[in-house]
Amino acid sequence: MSTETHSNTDITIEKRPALFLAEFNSPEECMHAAEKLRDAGYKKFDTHTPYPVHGMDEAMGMKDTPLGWLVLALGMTGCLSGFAMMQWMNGIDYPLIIGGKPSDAFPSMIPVMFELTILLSAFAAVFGMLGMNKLPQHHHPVFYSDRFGKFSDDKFFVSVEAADQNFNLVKTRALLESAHPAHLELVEEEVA
Amino acid sequence: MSAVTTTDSATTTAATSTSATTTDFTTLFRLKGGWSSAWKISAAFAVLGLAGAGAGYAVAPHRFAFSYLFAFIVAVTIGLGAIFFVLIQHLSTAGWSITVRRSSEFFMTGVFILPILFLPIIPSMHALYPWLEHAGQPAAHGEQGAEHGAVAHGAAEEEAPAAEIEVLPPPDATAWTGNEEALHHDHHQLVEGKSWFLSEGKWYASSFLALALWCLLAWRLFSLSVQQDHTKDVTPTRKLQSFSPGATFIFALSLTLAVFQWVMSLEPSWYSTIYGVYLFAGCAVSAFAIVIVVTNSWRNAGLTGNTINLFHMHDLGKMMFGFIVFWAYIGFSQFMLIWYASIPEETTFFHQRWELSGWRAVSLMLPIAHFALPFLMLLSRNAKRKLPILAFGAGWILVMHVVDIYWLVLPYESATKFAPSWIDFTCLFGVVGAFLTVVFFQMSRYSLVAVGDPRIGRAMRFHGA
Repeated sequence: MSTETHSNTDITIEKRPALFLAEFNSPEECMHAAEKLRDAGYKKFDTHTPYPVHGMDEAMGMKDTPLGWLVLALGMTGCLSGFAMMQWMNGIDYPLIIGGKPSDAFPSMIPVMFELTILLSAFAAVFGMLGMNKLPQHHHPVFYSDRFGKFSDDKFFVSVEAADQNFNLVKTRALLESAHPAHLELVEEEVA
Repeated sequence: MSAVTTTDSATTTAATSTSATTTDFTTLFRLKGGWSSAWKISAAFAVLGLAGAGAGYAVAPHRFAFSYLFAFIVAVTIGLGAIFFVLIQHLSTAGWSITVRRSSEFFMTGVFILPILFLPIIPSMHALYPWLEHAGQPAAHGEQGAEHGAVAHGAAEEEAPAAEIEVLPPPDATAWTGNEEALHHDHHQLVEGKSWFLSEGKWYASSFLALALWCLLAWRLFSLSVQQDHTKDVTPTRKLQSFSPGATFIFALSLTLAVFQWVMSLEPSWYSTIYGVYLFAGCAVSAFAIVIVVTNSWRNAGLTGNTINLFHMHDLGKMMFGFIVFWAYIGFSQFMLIWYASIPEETTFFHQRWELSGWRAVSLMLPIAHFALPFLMLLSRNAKRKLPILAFGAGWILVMHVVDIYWLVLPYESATKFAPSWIDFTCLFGVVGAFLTVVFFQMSRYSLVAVGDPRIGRAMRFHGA
């Protein structure tokens, strides 16, 4: 924890370490650092690159996303609720004979079942993706770094969050330095 | 994943060592061992099958007509599917698919033999197409019919709406089917109205036009691609890319024209505007299935080195999965509109495949085995990445595609029941065997990978999600 006093306001702002930010000049170095963190058992770290780097998922030790299962579950829910809705409305609650067909004819339910499957699957995919990525996130301490903007230009960053159980000001710094970053900084955030 | 990596690393050494020296890349990926005589085996199949088909013609010419048409349409859809696969790669300037494209290019060359395989259909024409009998003999339908026909034909165009109202079915359905004379008359009028399209001369002309166009497309797409193997020049790629948009139009129109007159006109009073798209969906899905089966076999035999990786296979699997859904979507669209409208001239198609003894099982099997089972089998990402499962799914889809064509053609053979015959199988072996003979022969002559495409390196490094 560090403190600094703003001379003109007399307000003391207390700060605590938020994350280590290591800057690399190439995707290979960045991926190498990610592998080191993965092998050292870190979980709460991320990489920030200007474009998708193939193989980064594996280097970071990320598991297959469970999103597909969520989409499957919601898709099947949509399919079955489409069927249940049509069966209830056309077959039980208010049977109507249309075109001489049985009121609960199965072929007439398929478009509804199909559309609801698509709708709920798409919702599951989009909102599930946002949720699992913890988005939208209005702020993150990584933006306190003045150098971070380069992640969308030509630099490759690795950030290790203080919330990680392995995080240690000395050991984590040493680990990151062993990957030879072009620049390494400790980003601090204000204590609320 | 692990099995794949082993195969890749085993062949990586071969590929890298050759790239270091000045080895000729065009000979690097060739059929080896038993594979290079595959065309002889399929030629033997073709000879045996066609001999059996000939025997079928001698014993039961009527059955032969339909069995042979079925086999021919299977070969046509496989060839057209291969053309479609290659066309869309050039149309979208796809770089990822270069390493797998040649497999489809080989299957595309099978269309060269289609004009010859088409010839046995000519003597069977009168057995196949009822509209041939209609042409120019309205008197055969009784005096009343002839009078009506003459009035309809003699009348000026503005009287057409009145005639249309006249043929509307009475509200009582039993009265409609009971009035056979009127039904026959209306049926005749329907077919007469299509005589501008369904005539013998036009049938010959557009059949050979379509076959010639396909040969032309396949020849251009294939020759430019293999020419590049040696020159490594970018010009053929550019030529193919500017050729493909127009070629896609020709492909779509000729496919529709051909299946309308070869298959849909088996029942001339019936029509479905989506019919061409339905067959196209079958073409497309079988094309992806074939690419998967063939490239997977090449990989297992270690013939393509490290050019085709897991991501290529996974993406092919995604495309095949997408098109199996497309096939079901189109098939259901066709069914639902006809089912909802319940117009007798439209419902005959499904009525026949539902009420004729035995066909109902096939009609029920198609949505289950052609769609639902492969859909569930290949839904998961992991399944598409396990190549034995993917290849099995592709093989399954190919078999179901053959059943689909059988379901389209054979109900017209007999008005009574579903009864597979040995002639169906001899014709299928003969025609598909002959088709594959050309494919395997070309396969033994050229590189299995389009090594001359300037983007081959990028395609080899292709990394999907």
